Amino acid sequence: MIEIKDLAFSYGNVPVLKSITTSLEEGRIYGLLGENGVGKTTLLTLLCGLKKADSGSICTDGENPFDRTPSLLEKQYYLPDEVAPVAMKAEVFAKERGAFWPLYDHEIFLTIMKEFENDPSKKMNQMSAGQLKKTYISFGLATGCRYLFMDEPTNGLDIPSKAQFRAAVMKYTPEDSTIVISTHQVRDLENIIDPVIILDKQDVLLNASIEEISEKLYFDYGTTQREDALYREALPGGFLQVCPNTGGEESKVNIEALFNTVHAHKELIKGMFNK
Amino acid sequence: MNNTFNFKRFGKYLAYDLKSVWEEQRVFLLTYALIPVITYIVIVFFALVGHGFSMDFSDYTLARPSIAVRVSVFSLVSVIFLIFFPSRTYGFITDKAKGSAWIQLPASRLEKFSSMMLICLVIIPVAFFCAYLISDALVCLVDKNCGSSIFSSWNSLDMTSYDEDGKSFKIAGKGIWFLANGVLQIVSVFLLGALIFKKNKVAKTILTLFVISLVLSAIIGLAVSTIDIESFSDKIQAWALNYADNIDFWANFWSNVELAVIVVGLGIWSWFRVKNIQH
Repeated sequence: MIEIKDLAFSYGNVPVLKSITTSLEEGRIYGLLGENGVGKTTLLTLLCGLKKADSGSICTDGENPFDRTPSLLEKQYYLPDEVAPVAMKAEVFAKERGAFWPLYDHEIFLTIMKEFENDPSKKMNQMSAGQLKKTYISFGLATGCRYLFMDEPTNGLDIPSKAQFRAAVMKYTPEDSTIVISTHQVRDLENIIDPVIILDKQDVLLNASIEEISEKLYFDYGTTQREDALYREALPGGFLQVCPNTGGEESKVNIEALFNTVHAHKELIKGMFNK
Repeated sequence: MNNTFNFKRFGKYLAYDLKSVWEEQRVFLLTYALIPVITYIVIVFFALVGHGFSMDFSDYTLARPSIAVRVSVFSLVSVIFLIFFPSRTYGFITDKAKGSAWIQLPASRLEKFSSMMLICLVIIPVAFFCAYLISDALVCLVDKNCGSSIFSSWNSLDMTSYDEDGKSFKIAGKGIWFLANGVLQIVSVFLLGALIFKKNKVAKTILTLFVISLVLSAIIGLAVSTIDIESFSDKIQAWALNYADNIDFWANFWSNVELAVIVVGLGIWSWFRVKNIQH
């Protein structure tokens, strides 16, 4: 369990995160969404201890991530957006580095690499950006970590690899793990992320499960315009509209539309979900 | 779990670190270590091209690198190697992608720091000097007229000597101690530079040293201008005469203190840099 309390961080005099309070539960795949520059990557790097909070606290299983203790490091893995091309064969890199994570399974690494159609005997500095990303994703999933933080993992992946990535995340992560995926490519991950966290400069605008979202918001894929629509988008042959779910109807949550709705009605949505 | 230092985990990390350093730096290290062979080949080649097996410079004949040339090349190459290898080996820590991966590796900060210091201050310099001396020995094996070994020539050098009123003394330390002293100081300085600066690490470190020496010179100059230099030098002379019997002990003592202060001070700074680095 990760508890974030009154977290603040700034780059020099430029505040990025102000008073963030939320908690991340086990057994969930969180989708971390937000506009450019709101601090998604900063939050991820704070969560994994790469940065020190200016004020407030992060508590992961009772520890501060910035202490960088081996006991916490071996329970977490952070996949940055930009990964390092090491002058080693992928399989050698994974085997040697994996020895530091007690639950690392080299067979799983090789299996995921095979599913990604990625050659583990290839040197990492000779790989394309997508192949390199897939190598690090395979390694991250093979570590068996309880806490997995991924920054834009589908960036640079080809179309089949995106589906393979979703399948691998569902198949190879422990049931009690907490996964936080920061992304702009919401359609790539729509089917696996639950709950959704929408970050704003000042605050967490939304931290709610898909079930909770569909209880409170209705996603109408009809052909008539609704007066109570908070957000409307024209689709071929109709509209996608997001409205308050006053009738308790079930609908399929569209995360992109949700994101736009939240940004158009920040206070209303916050009030709706904080009740 | 011991989160500060665990010998088993440290051993595992040190082996991993050494292997990574070897994978990344072996070409760099071996290139520098093979300089005696390269120098020998170059000189013999020009000697062959010139006048048979010798090069004539009016009254000077050069057929092979003399011991003076070999010791000079050794000193120069060693200094260049010691300046550049810390940033090549651990400069990646300031890089966002590589540095993040390094921080995330499950070993304690103290284990990572100890491994880095051991590799930089002991293992790589020893490996380099051994490889260099072996390479030099190979040259001497081929050419029996190469003269004495670099090691013995270096070790026979006295660190310093002093003559005062017919009394003379020598600091007990030999060239090998001087070499170790130099290695520790140079590597400590340039390792810290590699950990502080993100780009142009060596150039910025040299520039910083230059600025520091200018500032220190100005401060010392100011201090000297405010004191009575004659009575100060009289006091120093009186102290030297009083302790003339064990002056070598005191000279050694103070140079060791200086070395310890520099290495420990820079080591502490490096530790805090590694401990608190953020990406």
